[in-house]
Amino acid sequence: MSGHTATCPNCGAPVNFRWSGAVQTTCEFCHSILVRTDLDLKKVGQVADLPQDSSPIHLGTEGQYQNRPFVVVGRIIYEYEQGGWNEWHVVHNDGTSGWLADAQLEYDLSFWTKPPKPLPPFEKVHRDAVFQWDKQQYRVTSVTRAHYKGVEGELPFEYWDKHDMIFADLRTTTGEFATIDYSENPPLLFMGRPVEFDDLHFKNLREFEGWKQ
Amino acid sequence: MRHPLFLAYGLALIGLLGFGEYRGWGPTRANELRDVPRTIRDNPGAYRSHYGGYPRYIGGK
Amino acid sequence: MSSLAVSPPVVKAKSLSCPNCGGPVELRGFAHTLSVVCPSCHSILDASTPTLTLVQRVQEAQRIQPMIPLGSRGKLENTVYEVIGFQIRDIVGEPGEGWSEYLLFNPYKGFRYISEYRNHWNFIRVLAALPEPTKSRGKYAIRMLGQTYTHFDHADAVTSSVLGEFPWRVKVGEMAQVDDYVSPPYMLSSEATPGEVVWSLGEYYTCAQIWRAFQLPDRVPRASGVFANQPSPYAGRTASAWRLWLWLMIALFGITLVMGFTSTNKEVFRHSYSFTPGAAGEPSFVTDPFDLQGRPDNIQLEINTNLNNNWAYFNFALINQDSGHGYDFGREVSYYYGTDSDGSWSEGKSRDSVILPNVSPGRYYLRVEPEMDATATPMQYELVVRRGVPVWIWIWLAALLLLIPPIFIKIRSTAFESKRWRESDYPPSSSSSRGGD
Repeated sequence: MSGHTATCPNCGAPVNFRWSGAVQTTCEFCHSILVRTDLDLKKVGQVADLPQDSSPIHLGTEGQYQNRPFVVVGRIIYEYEQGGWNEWHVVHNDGTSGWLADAQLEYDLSFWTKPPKPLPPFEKVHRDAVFQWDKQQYRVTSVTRAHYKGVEGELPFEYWDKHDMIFADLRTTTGEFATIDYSENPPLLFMGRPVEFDDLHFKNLREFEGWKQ
Repeated sequence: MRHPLFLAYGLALIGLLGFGEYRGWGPTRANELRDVPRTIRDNPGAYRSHYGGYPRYIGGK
Repeated sequence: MSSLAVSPPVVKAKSLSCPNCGGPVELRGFAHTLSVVCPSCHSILDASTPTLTLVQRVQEAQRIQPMIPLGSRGKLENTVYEVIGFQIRDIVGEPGEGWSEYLLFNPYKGFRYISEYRNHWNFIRVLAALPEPTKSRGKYAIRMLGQTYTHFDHADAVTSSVLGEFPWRVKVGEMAQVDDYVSPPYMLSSEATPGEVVWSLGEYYTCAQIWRAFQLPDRVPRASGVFANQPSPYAGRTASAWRLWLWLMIALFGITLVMGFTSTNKEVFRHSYSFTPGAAGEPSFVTDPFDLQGRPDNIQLEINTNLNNNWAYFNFALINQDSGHGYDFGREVSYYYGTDSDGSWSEGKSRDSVILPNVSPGRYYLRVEPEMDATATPMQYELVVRRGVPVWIWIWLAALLLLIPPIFIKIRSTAFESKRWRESDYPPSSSSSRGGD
């Protein structure tokens, strides 16, 4: 994984890239949203103050899933009617990236997957709808309308000017998990599993006053 | 060892059974006699049965 | 790779003021807390914005006192959790049947719950898995992640009191449809609100375990009755008791074989006689002597007759020729048979046998005195004496007595399960109780 350094066009601070595939990042100092062009970085927006956050994970947290180490390089904060959640952008040594959904410390780890067959159209998607992939029955457990509350760090696409997004979460009886992002056309499929905090073997977590890790 | 009491009980039962068989224990009892005189061999009719009170069989079905 | 220049600050609990009474409110669930109850005025406040806003003023009949105080920390499953929230849920239509729930928080591991009902406790976590409806022993059940849970009860639960903080928006009076499924010591629960269904899995904990986990100082209270997912003290014991019974029966069978092969079973006397009732002269007689050898053992006296719709009674005395000791006993032999409207019938047997236990060795003879009906036809009979015969009745008795412990355990186990299911939506009826292990 490359450690490429550039300069923030807004404040001139050094901008480190942990991930060669980053399309967008934020400047740690002035919180400008920067997009990579062929030549250098371009400022496209500004991150408002990120909301108060109590996730133990932060940018730079390292972990391991099924013996493959990863680093947390970016984050999207989503907000919906009943609250919010984090989507941590995690990157492996070989450059592949995945998403660690963090909702009140319940985690789901999923990776972008090429759909095995065309994804169901949005009209067909509602709670308890069932679809068959990979010889498994996936049942829709929730359909969520959410919007960005904030972004941070390196992300694989330009993620700052989308408005409402619709996600459909699906699960199987064997614990497989899938999410369809209907805000893109064609929709994007991410597949994975729920994961336990202990199974991720985190290092470099946040500290909480009065709590030992 | 989930049932120590049961095992002890079962082994005691089987042990008692084995010992009883060895000694010939039986369920029936007979009245014990003492000092039966030798003259009974010559005169069996003089012997009075201690097992008295036999209810005469009434007979029939 | 250089580290971040700005590393995130240590997360601290926020201290705010209650908009209703001005009292202090501390958010120990950090930014996860969406609702908080003011410790002073017990109003429900919205914590999702930087300052607290009032959601619901609550009229309380009395102060609720959770058994585990808010702020207590305890270690469960190797992780320290802090009690940050508490609520009482009541069952619609069943006053007094409600239960308590404690919200546990660890900033790394997340949220857990412990529920309490009549001093039965459960340690619960939310599941992200899909249930499969199925059936178990005729009852509606759910299969989840490879384990089957049998439906126990359904209730409409309403939140009647709240204290502390919650990562969701709470209101007193909010309702949910709760279903419980059990597989002791586990209980699978579903909570359905119009928006969603949440599944959670609980594991039974005793009061003693909870008191130890939270190091509570007072005396451990006793639980009453049997709870839905309380593990049975007889779990598996019935099967293991029957297994031990099987081994003991095999041992019994072994002893029986040994007995059969090693018993003396020696014939020491055999003679035939005839008896004519009403004949002149003394009916009693003595047999020739015979020797009983070896250790004290039993003897068997066998009487074979040719009785035909008749009876005979024999007075016996077995007498030791040398010591004058002996045994006195009587035997009745009767045999009747015929045919009637139902077919042929018979009653009794024409032969008889009796065992005298524990006869010391020596030289013995029998004094015999037969009796018959004065009008009966003469009888031919044979007397056989055997030394040291196996007594089979003890084997049957031992086999019967061996049945007592496993049957006893099974009865206790069934009674325990009856008590468990009495609290469910499927109480066992008096006529048929289907208790499992």
